[in-house]
Amino acid sequence: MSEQQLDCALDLMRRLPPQNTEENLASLVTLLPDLTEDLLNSIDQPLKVQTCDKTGKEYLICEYNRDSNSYRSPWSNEFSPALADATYPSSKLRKLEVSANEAFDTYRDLYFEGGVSSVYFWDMDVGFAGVVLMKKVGDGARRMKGAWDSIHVFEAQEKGRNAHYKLTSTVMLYMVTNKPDLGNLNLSGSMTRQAEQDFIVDDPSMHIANIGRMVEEMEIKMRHLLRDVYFGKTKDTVNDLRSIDSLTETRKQQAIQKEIMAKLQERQR
Amino acid sequence: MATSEDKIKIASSFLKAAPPDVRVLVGDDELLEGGILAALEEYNTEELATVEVPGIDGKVIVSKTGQVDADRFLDPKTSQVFSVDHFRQTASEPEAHERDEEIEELRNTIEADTEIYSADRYAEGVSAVYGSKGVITIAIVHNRYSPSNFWNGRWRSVWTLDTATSEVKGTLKCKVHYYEDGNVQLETSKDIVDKLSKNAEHPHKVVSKALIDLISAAETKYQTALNESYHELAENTFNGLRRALPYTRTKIDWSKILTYRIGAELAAK
Repeated sequence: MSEQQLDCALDLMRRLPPQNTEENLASLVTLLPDLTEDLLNSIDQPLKVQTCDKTGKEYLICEYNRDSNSYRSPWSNEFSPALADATYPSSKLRKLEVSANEAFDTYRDLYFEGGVSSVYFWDMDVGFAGVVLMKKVGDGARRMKGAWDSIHVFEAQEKGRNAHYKLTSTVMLYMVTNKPDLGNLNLSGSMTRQAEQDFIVDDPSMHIANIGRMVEEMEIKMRHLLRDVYFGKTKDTVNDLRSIDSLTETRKQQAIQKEIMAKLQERQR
Repeated sequence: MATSEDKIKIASSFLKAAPPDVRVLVGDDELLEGGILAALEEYNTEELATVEVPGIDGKVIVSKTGQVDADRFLDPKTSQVFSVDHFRQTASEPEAHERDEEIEELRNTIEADTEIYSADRYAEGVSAVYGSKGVITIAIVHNRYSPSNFWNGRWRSVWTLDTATSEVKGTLKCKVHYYEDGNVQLETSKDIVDKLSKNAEHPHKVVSKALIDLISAAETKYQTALNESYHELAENTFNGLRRALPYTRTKIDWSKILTYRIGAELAAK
């Protein structure tokens, strides 16, 4: 029953309004307490920002840097609130994580010109895995609010000089506006894409460049996709639902054009 | 552990947002059938569900305005009431219903004009015009489903005319859902209040034309504002969240990522 319930819950989350993800997830957990861990791990929620006690820098919290009720800061490697028996990445992986945070902080600055980024790594039986998080909240100019959250989860497995990377990327994009002529508009949701690739790893530090290239490619691709769906497809559907031009007039015009074309063709014969 | 009441409440809220197979989630059919009908009824009347009624041509709207008692709804055009199975969205047992003769002539005129207007703007729209206790209510709904392209959309317009005060109120709502490798939803709502220049002293035909002209102009104005907002959201809000490329107009050179910041800091000085 529980596996079927989990599938059903995940399917439901794909159909429920993405605007209420947190609320809906909370309801699902109430309904299916035995599946709490599974649900929290499989449903992406909007990223939250927390400030690092030690460095004063902001970081993003999610399931991947959580242990009990504490979250690990990527800047200080410390949990907040402090946790006695916490799990940390191995010291070798933590070094890589520090560089990755620095690199993606630059990436964030160049593409988002603001916002917050965080990278978390964890050791696997073979290789390691991690998540690259980006969050940018718009300035709300012209009464239009927007937010972009990206969650890139990857696995890296070394094979000789190569490493194989598996990437699953989700971007959550929120757009809300309220103006006198328009009333309320909420255009929100998320899209998920996957990619796999092999790269050379001569030195552990090359992981960062490899993951960086994959994440950059993926975000560029997804930005196109989001633009197409958000501002192309949903808009076309609205204008299919109601025609801004008179359908009767349009049909008349088409009939006249057809007639003219037929007459022209007749003459040419 | 969730109580029965909690379960019903949660399932109802899910149903209203996305009527799926919630039976698996709750795992208690008897509990569901007893408690969930109210949620389904609310969903159907709020969303202006359309049903086929035996003996009536075309689809008929199920709405709060048309609800005559606990489970019977009115088709104002044929003046018949019918029972609705809110689970299956089917109708049965049609029987004659008494009209409100005081307003019937005006209702009948507006109904004819509404049908022409609806066909002219909503390709496969369904409309209903109710008349009761001095109030005319127009409901228009247009659904488009494209499961093969992973999207669906619904436009709802509900307008009322108070014949005593000539006050006109409208509510326009639009929902679009796109779910290919993601879950993106558009939700809009707009309330309109206006006053009709014609009143009960004018012939029905004149009142009806003025009302439809008002509705047509208001809806087109709204749709234009919506299209403009799409443009603004894409050009300003979306671009403001994440750039297509960094200001350098090239992708990041990941082999030099850790030296970027130093470069940027030097350039800023």
